Amino acid sequence: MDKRLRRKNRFRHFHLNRPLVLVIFCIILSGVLINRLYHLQIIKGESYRTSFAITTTKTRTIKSTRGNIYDRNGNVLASNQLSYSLTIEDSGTYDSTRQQDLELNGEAYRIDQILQANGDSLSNDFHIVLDSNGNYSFDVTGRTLSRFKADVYGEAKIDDLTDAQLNATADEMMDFLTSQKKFGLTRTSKPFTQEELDSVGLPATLTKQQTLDIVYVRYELSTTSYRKYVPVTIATALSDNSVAALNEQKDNLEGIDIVQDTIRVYSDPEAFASIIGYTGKVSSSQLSELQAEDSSYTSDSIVGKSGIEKICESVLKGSDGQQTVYVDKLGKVLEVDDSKTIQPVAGNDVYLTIDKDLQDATYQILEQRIAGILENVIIDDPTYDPSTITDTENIRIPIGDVYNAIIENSVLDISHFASTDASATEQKIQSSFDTKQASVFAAIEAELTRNDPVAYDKLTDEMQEYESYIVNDFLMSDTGILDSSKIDKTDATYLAWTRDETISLQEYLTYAASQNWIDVSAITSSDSSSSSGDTYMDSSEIYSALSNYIIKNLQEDEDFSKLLYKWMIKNGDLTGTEVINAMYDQGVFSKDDEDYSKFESGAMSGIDLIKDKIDKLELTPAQLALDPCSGSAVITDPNTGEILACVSYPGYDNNRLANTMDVAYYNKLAADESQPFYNKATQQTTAPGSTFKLVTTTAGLEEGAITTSTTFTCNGVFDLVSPSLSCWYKPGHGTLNVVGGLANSCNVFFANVAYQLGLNEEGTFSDSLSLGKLQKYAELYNLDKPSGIEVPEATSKVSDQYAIQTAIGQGTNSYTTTQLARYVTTLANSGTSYNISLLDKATDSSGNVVKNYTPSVESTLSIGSTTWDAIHEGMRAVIENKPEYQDLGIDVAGKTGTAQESKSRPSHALFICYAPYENPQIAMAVRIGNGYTSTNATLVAKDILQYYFNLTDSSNILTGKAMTESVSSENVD
Amino acid sequence: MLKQYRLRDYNFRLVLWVLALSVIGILLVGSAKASLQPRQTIGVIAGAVMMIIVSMFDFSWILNFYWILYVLNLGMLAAVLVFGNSSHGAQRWISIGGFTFQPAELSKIILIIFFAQYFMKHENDLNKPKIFIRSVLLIILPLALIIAQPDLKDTIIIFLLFAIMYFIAGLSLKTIGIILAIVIPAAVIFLFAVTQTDSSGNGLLKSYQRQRIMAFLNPNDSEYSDDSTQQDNSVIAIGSGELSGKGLNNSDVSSANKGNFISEIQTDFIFAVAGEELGFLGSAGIIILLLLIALECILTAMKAKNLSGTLICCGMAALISLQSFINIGVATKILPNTGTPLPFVSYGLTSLLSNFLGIGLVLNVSLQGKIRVTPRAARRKKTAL
Repeated sequence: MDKRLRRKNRFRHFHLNRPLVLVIFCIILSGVLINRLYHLQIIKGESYRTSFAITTTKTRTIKSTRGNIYDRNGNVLASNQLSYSLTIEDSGTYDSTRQQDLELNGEAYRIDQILQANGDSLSNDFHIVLDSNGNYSFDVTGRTLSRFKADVYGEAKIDDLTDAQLNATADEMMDFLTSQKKFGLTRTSKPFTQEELDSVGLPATLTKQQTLDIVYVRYELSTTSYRKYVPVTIATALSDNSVAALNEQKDNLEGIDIVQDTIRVYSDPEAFASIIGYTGKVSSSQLSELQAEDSSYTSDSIVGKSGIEKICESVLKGSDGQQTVYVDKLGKVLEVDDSKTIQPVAGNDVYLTIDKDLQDATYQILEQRIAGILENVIIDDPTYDPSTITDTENIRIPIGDVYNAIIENSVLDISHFASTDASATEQKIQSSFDTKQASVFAAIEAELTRNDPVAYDKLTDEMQEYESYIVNDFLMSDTGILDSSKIDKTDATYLAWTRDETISLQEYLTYAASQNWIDVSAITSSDSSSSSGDTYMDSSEIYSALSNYIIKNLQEDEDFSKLLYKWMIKNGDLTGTEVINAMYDQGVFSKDDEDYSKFESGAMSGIDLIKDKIDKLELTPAQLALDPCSGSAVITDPNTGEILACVSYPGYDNNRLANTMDVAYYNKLAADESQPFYNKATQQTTAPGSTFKLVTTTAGLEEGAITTSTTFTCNGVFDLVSPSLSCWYKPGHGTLNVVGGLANSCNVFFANVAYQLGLNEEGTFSDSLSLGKLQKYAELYNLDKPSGIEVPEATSKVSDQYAIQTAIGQGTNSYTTTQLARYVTTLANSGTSYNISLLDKATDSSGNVVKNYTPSVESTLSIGSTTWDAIHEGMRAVIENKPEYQDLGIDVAGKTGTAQESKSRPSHALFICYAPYENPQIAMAVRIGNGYTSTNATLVAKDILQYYFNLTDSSNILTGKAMTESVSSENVD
Repeated sequence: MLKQYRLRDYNFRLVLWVLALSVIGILLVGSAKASLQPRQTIGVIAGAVMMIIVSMFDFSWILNFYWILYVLNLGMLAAVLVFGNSSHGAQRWISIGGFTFQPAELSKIILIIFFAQYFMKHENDLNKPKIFIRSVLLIILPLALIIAQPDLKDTIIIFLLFAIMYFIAGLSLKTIGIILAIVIPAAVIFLFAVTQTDSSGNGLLKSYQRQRIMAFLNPNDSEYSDDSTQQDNSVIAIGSGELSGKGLNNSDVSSANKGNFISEIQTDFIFAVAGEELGFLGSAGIIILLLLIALECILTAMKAKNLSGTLICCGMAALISLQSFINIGVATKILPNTGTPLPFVSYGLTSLLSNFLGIGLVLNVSLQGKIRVTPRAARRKKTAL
């Protein structure tokens, strides 16, 4: 062998033991791994163990039950019923948003299908709904809608929304929500293939309802900002079938859970809704407020939204328990760690001072009596002309107004006239309406475009009403297109339109356009989405855009349509018979009664039928929302200041608002002209009328302006000051002392008292001096303060003008029924002014009292006993004069009040009283807004007293029919 | 074919390491998925029996059939493509009488046998271009069939195995130098091009090209759709084992294993169970056992009677080391997610039996290696003839 080669070979083999290289290689690989393990397990082991615990364990909330609400006798007013809810959480892991969209949308669709198949549906607290024509629309307006838009577009504040977002239509929002930017139901890039859709069970095309349902589920999921393991509730009160079907499919529906839940149930909702309120899912603004005090609130919390439910939220709310569970990769619970479970604590129960039976009875009595008044004033007199009425006691309701009210207050659903299953009558009404609409719009269009438009004052009443609606309602309050803040109120053209009425609508709007009073972006953005708001338009272009906008959008405006119906009724294009037939067709009245056949055969006239239905309370004052349609009564125990009843008529069914809100019902209530959400007992303030005369009495006696023996002579008018003041009893009461003055509620007597109070040292009358003294005593009775009731109350106002008017309860006096109730409570117990209260006590779930609420005493009045005697005697005398209170079986003391606030509407009926006279057990204040005369309020009080003191069988009082006996429209005070 | 062996020549140490590791494997598989434990036990017993049987056969006799084996291997790999079961977007399995069988696993052993013999035959002209090219062609054929499945990781493993065996056989440093001089810069440029191209398409490659390469590197099988989540969970599980682990078969429900946080945990992520339940001590122990097996193989290689024996042993050592490294590297997230079994530990009969088969061969090499026969000595002997 060649030496060189051998050396080379030796060199190679000697110096390179190749298997040894492999040994080193293997050792290095093992070293790398062991080093890695050392790093993972020893150096960072502990942190991995912690993060491991986070991925595998999750804490779940065990919902506590909300406390019940009881009346003073332990009758249940609000309680919880066991139910099942469906929650969902996003526990999946996805490659891409595309895949996430596909899978979540598919799952939402499958859930929706299961619910639909079992007669359930998803909760609908989303504010986009399908309207009757199957189009997307909003079910809320105004601020709530803007807030919703901000939530959808992910803005914290409404102000952060762009104009386009703020003005987005429901369709535009749905386009956004279904787009791939949001929930990816439709994709422009890389659309889902049929196989992909099939794999998650999605059909190729979705109906609008299905799209909406999927978007709703995705939206609810998105509210947790996709935090894993935060479940959101998407359906409540599931049927047993749904529960079974969902449980069966649970393995295929990642992240769903069926949880035991409770739904809130209210007994006697109508009578109690105004004070109890209702619960609902927390709103974002409310959430931040609540979280500030209690961090356990989440976006899924059910909280009190109004009334006692809201006020006693912290008492009623239980504390949720917590459960630590181990989950697998899919979020499926493997095991519950019992050692870490915190049991939920049920909320405390709240006992109200309210007497449930009394509250219920009072509600019924109010409805019966109000219906009685209403029934009495409906007339069928074609010659009745409201413009000729000088005394409000003569105001009557022509039957045509009732028919109009039936349409205006949506007793009839006018949108149903055009639907496919409309009855023959409905179709006929619709075709008359179409004709009417066409002719009115032609006329309006002509007015807007012709060269010689007619000045407002030259128009017919009908056209005037349409044009007023266009400007005031449509352009200003509804849309804000005509921006009231930009209008120069001293401008000559403005005054020519509003005050002088000498120019035409066309002239006014053309001028408004030239003055930049028109919000151009509003008319262009909804006109065509392409134009950006800043394109320059000259004033003639603006005017033509505006008139096009009016013509186009007014046709969809329901209120304007109702206005057309009003004139159709006035002009005889729509008859009462048609209205009544439509009511039968729409099921407002049942055809299974004798009235129907009598009406159809012509044996019963329209007005008789309507009156009969009002009498049977099948058509309630609240439904018609004519005057009167509302009333309130607040009853207290004068010895304790506890409120025994606090009723506002009309009420509403809070069961339909709690839990899953019935949005359609909510909207109906919100739009209802009888304003059921407006608490007539705590929110409505009116002049107290003559009930105020006890303040005047106190002032007169205590200030020494009069004594109990001072007399004044009433000849029907008080003319020491100008303008003079008439007594309600025109012939005059003659000579009266203070008790007689009270007994007859003599205006002249109390005007004299006020006059005496205002006499200064020089012996001349000073209005401000008198007023100051009256105010002092009104304040002594704490009429300037909240009554103490726990639910929100409107602020009272002690009159600060016109001493003479003030003395008889007019002036600018304005109080709620609750404030009058406190006043009469103070009168009844001769001087203890309680902060009247609804709350009795709170107990824990085992019945142990955790808090006792005792009405606090705001002040004790230092008033002499002679004054008290005069007051009580006077109040007693008032009742002794009342024929309807004769032989009642109990001695009552009270004071009537008839407060006139409008010349075109009936006066308010007020009455305060206490009983029994010698040893008062209850005190009450009753008010019927626009109830004509105090007599009507005294009748309500009489019924209540009879009920409360068992003076007659309750079936004689709670008849379920309108009470017309003794009702009056006669102006008696 | 069968020879008379002396019992004291039997490498009981190797057998001990292998059996110890296999028992740990049975326990871990049982902990991962109790239902699979009996099958794994049967697999280990069958494998051990097979190992002992194979160890009795003269490996040189087996090597005589190397061309037949080579052709059989190609046939088998081709059969997968034609008849194989498609699963998770790849065609890697063949069903034989109710058993699924993964030819690529067996292929590794066959190729070790083939090249052990082939390189020995060409011991003296290994560095000639002709042989080099032939060798490369001989490995490319089966690799092409495996990559067609597609199975990138086995392609890489087998290629590395080939390279290591060629190196052990005596590929000259000059040739290695030339190869490296070409391959390394090319790879660097390629990787640079891939990684420097951002998704917007600025760079050497067009963005779609990059995407294709990236997609190729990360086959988007649904099997690995949640690749990194799985790896992250595995790392957390291993890390949470700390020093001594949570205990084998622990009843603690809060484990990655019980929580099903890692799919296919009994095969590709068995090491996550080891790390979590046995802790650093146990899992480092597994790595050391694997290293001991590899070292024992190499030690045997050094004592082998001829080059083919050396190559078989080194091939097995390399195979076990590489598979272990890739498996554990994936489980501890130092390598991208690709599923490969952990020798003797992971559930999977093909892999288990193939590895026992390979160790059987090594044992036989050991039995015949009493006389220290280094490759150099063998060559000297050959030249003397």
